[in-house]
This record gives sequence, structure tokens and C-alpha cells, in this order.
Amino acid sequence: MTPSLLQVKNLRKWYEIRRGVLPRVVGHVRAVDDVSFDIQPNEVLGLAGESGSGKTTIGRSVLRLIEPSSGLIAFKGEDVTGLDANGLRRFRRQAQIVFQDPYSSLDPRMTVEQIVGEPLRVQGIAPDPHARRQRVESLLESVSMSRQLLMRRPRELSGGQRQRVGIARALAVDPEFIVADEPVASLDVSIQAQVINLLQDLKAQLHLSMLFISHDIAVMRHVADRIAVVYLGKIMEIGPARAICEAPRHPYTEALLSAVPNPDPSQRRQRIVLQGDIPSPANPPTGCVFRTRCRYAIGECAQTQPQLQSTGPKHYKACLRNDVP
Amino acid sequence: MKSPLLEVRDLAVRFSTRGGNVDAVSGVSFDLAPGETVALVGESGSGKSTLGLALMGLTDVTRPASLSGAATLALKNGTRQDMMKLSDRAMQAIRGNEVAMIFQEPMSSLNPVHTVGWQICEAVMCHQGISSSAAAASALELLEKLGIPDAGRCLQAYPHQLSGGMRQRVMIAIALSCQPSLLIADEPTTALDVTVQAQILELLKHVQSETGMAILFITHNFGVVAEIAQRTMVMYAGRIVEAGPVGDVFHAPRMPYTRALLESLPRLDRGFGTRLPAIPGQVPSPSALPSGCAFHPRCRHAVPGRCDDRIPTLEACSSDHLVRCVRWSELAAAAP
Repeated sequence: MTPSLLQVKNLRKWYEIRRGVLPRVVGHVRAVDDVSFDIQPNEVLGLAGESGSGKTTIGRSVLRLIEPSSGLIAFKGEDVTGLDANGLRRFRRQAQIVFQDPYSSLDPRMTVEQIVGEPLRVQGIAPDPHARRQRVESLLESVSMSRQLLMRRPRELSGGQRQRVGIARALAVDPEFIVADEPVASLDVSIQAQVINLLQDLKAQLHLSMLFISHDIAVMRHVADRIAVVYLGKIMEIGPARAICEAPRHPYTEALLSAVPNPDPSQRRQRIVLQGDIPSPANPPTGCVFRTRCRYAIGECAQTQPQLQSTGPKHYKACLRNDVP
Repeated sequence: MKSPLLEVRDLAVRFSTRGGNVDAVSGVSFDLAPGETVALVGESGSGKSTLGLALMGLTDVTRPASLSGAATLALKNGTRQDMMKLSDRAMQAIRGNEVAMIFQEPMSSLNPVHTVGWQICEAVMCHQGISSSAAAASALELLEKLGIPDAGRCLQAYPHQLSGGMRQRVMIAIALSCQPSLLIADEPTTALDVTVQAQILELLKHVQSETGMAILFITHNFGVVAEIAQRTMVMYAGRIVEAGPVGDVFHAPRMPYTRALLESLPRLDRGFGTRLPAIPGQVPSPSALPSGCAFHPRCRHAVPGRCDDRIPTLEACSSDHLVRCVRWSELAAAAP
């Protein structure tokens, strides 16, 4: 068995809630609570969840854009949680991020050439401006953008073009691993498909591994090899993409899938409409965090916190009940 | 057939900018029956939101616009009124009372410095001239009817204290407070999570079955269309390019744009690891529309000399299915 590219163990990010004149800690927002997973070389792990589930916090913690409260993050066997500034710079030559919003994640005063070239400059990969320009041109080509756009600024680009610039910037240092945080969420439908295809091509050509974060499980299905479903900072179910989509074993996954609207009007199916909202992570329910909205919840769900247990090949779920769904 | 609630004829919205005139909406005509839901589908820049705002008489808020055409609404008192010809003052009596609108981002449409209760009562008191205590009572009743838990406390809350789904419910409550006969819903579920989206769609369907109001549902999401509407209109570059019953448009799209858009959707019931058939290029800017059919530069069926020559007319390909494509009949014959 090949060693994991990325291994995350018991990752936790709690934010302190401080109150009072002399602020003291009165509680914690448990944004991410005991999350463990690994990613193999050339594998795409999808991280699916609704807003407030902690998926973005997980993605950023993995790259240490957010300092995790505790837990282990090992990249190629090396623990990255203790890295100093120099170590982090080396780490980010191999691990990069594509942000959700291509409007706020590109500096409006910089040209496309400067944006894509910046990581090359920071990492000292192409210190010579001429060589850097050549590298930027080939990067733009790899994301199917014309070199005529080199001198443009973000406001002169469409949403799809901006996201391509964001992807080219992440690819600039030739990373092995990319965190893609909702890369298509802000794009139009006809542009979404272009960017999804681009990510698939890049994965195949560059042997990239990815943590693909999305609230849209239909999008994820086209990109991910495995999917982890998160709710209130915890992994509810993790397994092969096909098994998760076609035979979900956790009640939350089942509800999430059934809520995705189907464009085919002749395929009316039974909808599971979840009641209420996601509870506050400052005051999560006892036991299973999903039990307050779960239609299968029993008394025991309030007492015992379910652990991930095997339910098929490489397929795990955190649910006390084995008879549902 | 029942006489339509809303008759829109040749509606056009033109913005004057420094760079010249921009036709955001051109030649839009359709009918909306009482109790019917029609989905207006399009990508950003297609003009779908501008059309919704024009019907509400709200386009002037952002930029000076010139409107032409007619939008005749059957009023509660039995008369019919062309909303495009009304003065701002006369439109105020209709807006909120006969036609109401809900928006995509409820946080930016609600007033952050007033309580939810105040904002619901405002509309009722303004249009129905009832006392504040009667308005408060009806606001409470409305929230309870919309299935909001702990409605009394919700009335005292400020928008920032509520979740996204709850804010959208409050927006719906404000819109419904005067029992409008037409609701214009502009992407009301786009900013919400899928599970909350499902709740809001259920709620709208439930309210509609009780009140019999008509809904013009503006969205970019074909999945939502099938969920809520009976008929759909697809917009591209300011024009309706296809319109018909949801089932016909989905199963036999006649306009190449509609077909390509449906094919490019990521769906749960598709094969794994397959490439999505993407539409090349991007949506044209309304200030620089291509000649002829606006979709022809991205269309794989486009024929030089035919598609780039004139803007095609909206033709009927069956009794209630309209399409704007010069090649629709030959394409339909080639691929059923």
C-alpha cells in the first residue's frame, strides 16, 4: 500500500467565546471537532456539507491558513502543524489553494501576469522576469486562457476567466496537492461545466491530489474519487463517491442527496425535508450532533457519540443505527 | 380558458450608458394565469432579474432606464391596469399590495435597524390602513402560518439574529402580508443550502395552494424549475429563446442553447467520471451582442449566413411550445 500523501488525525478547531469586561472564556465554537481522513497520491477527496458545517475551516487548517487547535496534519509523512515560517514556505511549494470567490481573491490592482507570477517570485522559482513570463504564459495555456489576457486586470475578466487565473496561480509552483474551496460555486451553469472539466484534466495530466470542498454534491460526483460528508464540524460518512451517492449509509447523507433538485420533471421522488436549521456549533447537541433533525433518531442517540465504523469497502459512517437508511 | 392575471407584451428595457444604449430586455411577451407558476431561467446577464424589476416598476432605482411595451395586470377590484403606464405614486399602491417580490439575499433586502415585526407591519399598515395593534396580530398569525417556530420571539428579532432560511421566510411573510395575486421571486433559494432550499420551495408551494397566487420564479437552476413550475421560459441575452411546459422543454428542448445548458448540468443520475458537455465561450455582454441570434458564436449548429444574419423570431413548434431558432425544425428532424 502506498503511503498517504496527506494524513489528518483528530483535527480540531475550537474558537474561544469571550465575554465580560475582563474577557474570559465562557465557551467554545466547535467549528471542527475530531476530524480524521487521508488523501492518497492522485486522489480527489470531496468534502461535502452545508454552510456552517466546518468544511472551509478544515480546508484552510490543512494548509495552515488557519491554526488548528489540536490534531495532527502530516504531509508526505512530515507533521506540518509545527512548521516555522521557512518550513511553511517549503510546504506551500507542494500544497496550494483555489478560493471560492474569484472576485475577492485576486488583487484588483495587479495584472494577470503579476498574479500568476507572484508565487514564482515568492518561492524563487523563476527569478528572471523573462523566464517568469514564459512560465506564466504556459500556465495560462494549461488553463485554456489566451496569452493576450496577460496584461489585463481582474475587473476586465469574466467570472470563469478569473477562476482560471486563480487555478493557474495555484498551479504555478507545480504543487502535488490542491485545496479547491467551492471553485465553481460562484460561476454560471454553462461556465461551471468548463471549470469542472478543467479540474478533471489537470488531475489526470499533473497527477494532482485534491481536497475538493463543495456544498453541491452533484458537482462533487463528477470530480471526487471519495466523498466525506461533514455536519457541524464532524464527519458523518466517508467512502467511495459512487457508494456515497448511490447507497448512502448515514441518515444525513440520505437527506442531503434527496434535497438536491432533479431537473427531470418526470422523475418525482420522495423528498426528505429536514426540519429546522443546523444547530449552533457553540452549543452542539449531546450525543450524535445530527440527532435533532434526524428522522431515525432514538433515545440512545442523545447519550452516545457515534464513532466512524466500517459499513463497506473503504466506507465508514458515524451512526448508532445499522438498520437505516 | 381563464383570462390571464398578467399579460406582458413586447416589454423592453434599455439602459443609456456612456458606451451607448444597452438593451437588457427585448421583446418579451407572455401570459401568466392565476395560480400558475412560471419559471424564468437564465444565466447572469440574461436580463431575467431586470425583467422582474421592470414589472415591479423598480428599475429606476439603479440606473435611468427606458421601458417600453405593456404589462397588464388584473387588479383585485376587477379592473385591468397597464403597469408600464402608471405614475410612480399609482405604482406604489400596486407594489406590495397586488404584486410582491422576494429577492436572493434576504439580509440585504431587510432593514437591519428594525425588528422583523416592524417590517412586516409596515407593509400591512401602509396598504390596508389598519391600526398597529391589528397589524401586529396579523403579522404573528402570518408567521405562524408559515411554520416559523416561536413566532412571537421572531417578531422581536432583528434580521442579523436570524439564519438565512429564517430571513427568507420573513421576506416571504412581508411579501404575503397583503395577499398579492402575483409574487415575483428572484432567485429566492440561491443563497440557501440545499436542505433549506427544499424547505422554502415546499413553503412556497404550500402558500400557493392556499392563496392561489401566481408566481413568476426567476432562477438559474433547472433543478428548481422542475420542482416548482408548470411552465418555463428560457432567457438568453435579453430575449426569451424558448418557452413551454416544463416537461416539453426538458424532454424535447428545441433551442440549441436550452439543450446545451441541460446537458452541461452536473446531475446525480449521470454516469461517474464522465466529462460534462460544456458550452464553449461565455455569455455575451448586453452592450456587445453578436449579430443575428445572440447564441450563434457558442452554438455548434450555427450556420454562417443564416444564424448571424437576423434575429430569429419566436416560433411555435407545438401549440404551447415556443422557440427562437431559425434551424429548429431541421434540428428536430435530425435528432428527435
